[in-house]
Amino acid sequence: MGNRQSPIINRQSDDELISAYLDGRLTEAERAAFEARLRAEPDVQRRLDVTRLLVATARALPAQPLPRDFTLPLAASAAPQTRPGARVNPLNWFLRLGSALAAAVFVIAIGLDLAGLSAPPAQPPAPATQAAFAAPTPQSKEAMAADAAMAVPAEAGEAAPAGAAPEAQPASGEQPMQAMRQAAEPAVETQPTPEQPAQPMAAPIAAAETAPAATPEAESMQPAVVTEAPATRVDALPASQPTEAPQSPDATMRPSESAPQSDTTPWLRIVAGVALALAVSLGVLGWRRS
Amino acid sequence: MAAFTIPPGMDEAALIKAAQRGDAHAFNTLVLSYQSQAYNVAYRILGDAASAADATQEAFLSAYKGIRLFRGGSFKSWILRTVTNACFDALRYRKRRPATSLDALGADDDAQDGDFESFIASADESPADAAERGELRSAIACAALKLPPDQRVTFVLSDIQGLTYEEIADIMQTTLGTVKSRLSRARAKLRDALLARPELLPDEFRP
Repeated sequence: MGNRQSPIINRQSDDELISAYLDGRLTEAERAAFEARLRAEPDVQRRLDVTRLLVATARALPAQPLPRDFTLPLAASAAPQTRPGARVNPLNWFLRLGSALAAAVFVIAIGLDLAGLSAPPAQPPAPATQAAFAAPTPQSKEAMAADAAMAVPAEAGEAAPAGAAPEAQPASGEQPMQAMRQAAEPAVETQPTPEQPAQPMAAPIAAAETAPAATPEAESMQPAVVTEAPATRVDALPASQPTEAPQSPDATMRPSESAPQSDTTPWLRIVAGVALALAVSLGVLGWRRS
Repeated sequence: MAAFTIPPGMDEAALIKAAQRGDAHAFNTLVLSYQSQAYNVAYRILGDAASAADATQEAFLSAYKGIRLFRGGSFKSWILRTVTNACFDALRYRKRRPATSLDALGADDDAQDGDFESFIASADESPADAAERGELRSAIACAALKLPPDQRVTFVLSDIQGLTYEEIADIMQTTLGTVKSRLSRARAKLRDALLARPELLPDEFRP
């Protein structure tokens, strides 16, 4: 078989045979065949002999004395390391916990923000709303007064849930955002007009609780809707709007005026951003310490 | 220097576990046990004492930092793997900076076969002097430094350190077939270099 191969391949094959033969890595059959070749081919025998000399000489090379001790200085080797099962520094725990909490706050804030975005967009105010502005109910006045007292009334989208929550909370006893949205959605979508009386519908529980505060005509149609509508609209207005609306009955809310009204909540985004930055920085710090 | 032996009552596995828990004394006991072999491997691969010492120190430092990654098996193979890796790093560094590769022996790591065979022939000392002073071993050791890195490491681990194919494959993270191939090529190159200078060989090996 080897005769059909090139001399170079034959030589490489011979070298591998020689090497394996010296290391006792040939099978009995291979060994017998190779030894037969050794008897027939002096050149292969000579290469084997020199290779054996090479290996024996290399094995006999003297060990070099160590120039120095390679043990690690204890001061350097005492550096803290993170090992499986090893106790973690309490500060690292604090950093990890803080990072996790900040991440949770970030997720919650983003979730609330997205929930706000998923709500139906605000519709231009219907005449009924204008009428409500013209003759605000005591309830809506209270709501507007409460909104005016808010620390950040200029943020329209932010003020809406904050202003609606105190009213909706006693009714539903659940999440303020949901209660506010339940109360606001019918007001936007089923706003009754003078020409088209509102159709009876199942009012949300939260809105029904506010029914006694509605005007008499509104009470006959959709109490919750009319009652909540001014409060919600006013909450969503810029800071100057809540105080101006009751004083100027002719003021109308056109779509362009409701542009500042946004379902996004900037303060949620601020919280989310701060939480994200905190989570990342604490996480990186904890990771670097470990 | 006589090889350090682990004190009675302290087995290697216990020392490794202690070192993994951060016990520097335990790790240094392991270092004492393997530093001679580690340094000699590095010395035969790199060819000079300073580079070998640096590579050995680097290897033990790396081993200490990564000892938590040791998942059992042969600790000797694991240590020698860190040593050979440090040597490969040093060789790559030399290749990038050729000026530092001529410090000890004037050897170039990536020599061609022609250069390899001329290395022994161009030795300063005469062949007669070399033969008289038993320089065959020195000639082989120097010639080994002309081998390609993979073959050189295989030759050092096998023929100088006496490790088995399996141990070498474990250290170099390769197959037995690759070890066998690299070793046969390394031996063939060294053998041919010696045959080119028969005066270095004992009388019975001369034609």
